[in-house]
Amino acid sequence: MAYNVLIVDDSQTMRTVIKKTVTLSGFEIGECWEAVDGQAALEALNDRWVDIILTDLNMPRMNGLELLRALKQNENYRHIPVVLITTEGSEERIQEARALGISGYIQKPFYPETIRDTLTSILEVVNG
Amino acid sequence: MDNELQEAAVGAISHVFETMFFVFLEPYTPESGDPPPSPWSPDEHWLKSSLGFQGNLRGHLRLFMPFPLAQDLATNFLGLEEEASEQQVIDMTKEITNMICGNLFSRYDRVQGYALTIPEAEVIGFGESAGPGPSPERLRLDFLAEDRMIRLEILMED
Repeated sequence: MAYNVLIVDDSQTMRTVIKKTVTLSGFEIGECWEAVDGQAALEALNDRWVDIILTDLNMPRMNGLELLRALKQNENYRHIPVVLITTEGSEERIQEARALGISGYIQKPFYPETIRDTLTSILEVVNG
Repeated sequence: MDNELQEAAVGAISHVFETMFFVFLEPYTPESGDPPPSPWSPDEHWLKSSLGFQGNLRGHLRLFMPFPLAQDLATNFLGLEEEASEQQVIDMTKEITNMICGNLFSRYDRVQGYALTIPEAEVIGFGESAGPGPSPERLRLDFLAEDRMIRLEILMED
């Protein structure tokens, strides 16, 4: 089964790398869209079906946690699993993200297998 | 400067370069007697990337790389058929700096979160990569990557 993925990061380089890494890992991608920050991600969701969101933490306009809060407050989007892909790895930050309902947390830099295993385990749970 | 912070810095930059680029860094000190990196051209442009951090410690982290090296890394990293553009190289360098800093403080202080500013990067002349030498407030670490030098600096405030 192929999944539609939304990648949210203010770095074009990082969006490219994440997309390539997800593809190389063997994870089946249907459509893959990109957004430069949380605000752009919300706009992208208006007319797209997304199965999973991979988002950075620190972004201008709307960061990853603010995006997560906005998604959880919207009945149309709260079901979409969100994976935080970020350079920060402190327990404090991880706990904060989990309290907001993050489905996964990957610290940069990452190996392709880490992304694949994280996405697979999340979507297997979602789809039963 | 804190030995633990230095170890965390060495571990972080090594991990980032190995994981992202499959490049293995060797610590470089002139006192070691090792020959200086080559080529070593004063006309060469460098990249300087920096960001601020704030948690239990506060300061700035800076990364200096020769532009040709950064361009090679970006071209390979992005899988480009032509050389990476200056903007792509700058973008990648900012991301490397971000990863190094995040990794560093994850190693140094697993519990406390650190706020990081959005990194900035620019092309500079070779001379600007030198600057003042190490001090109690300034940690400077040099590494060799494929026979080229990379410099990491941590400047503490307060």
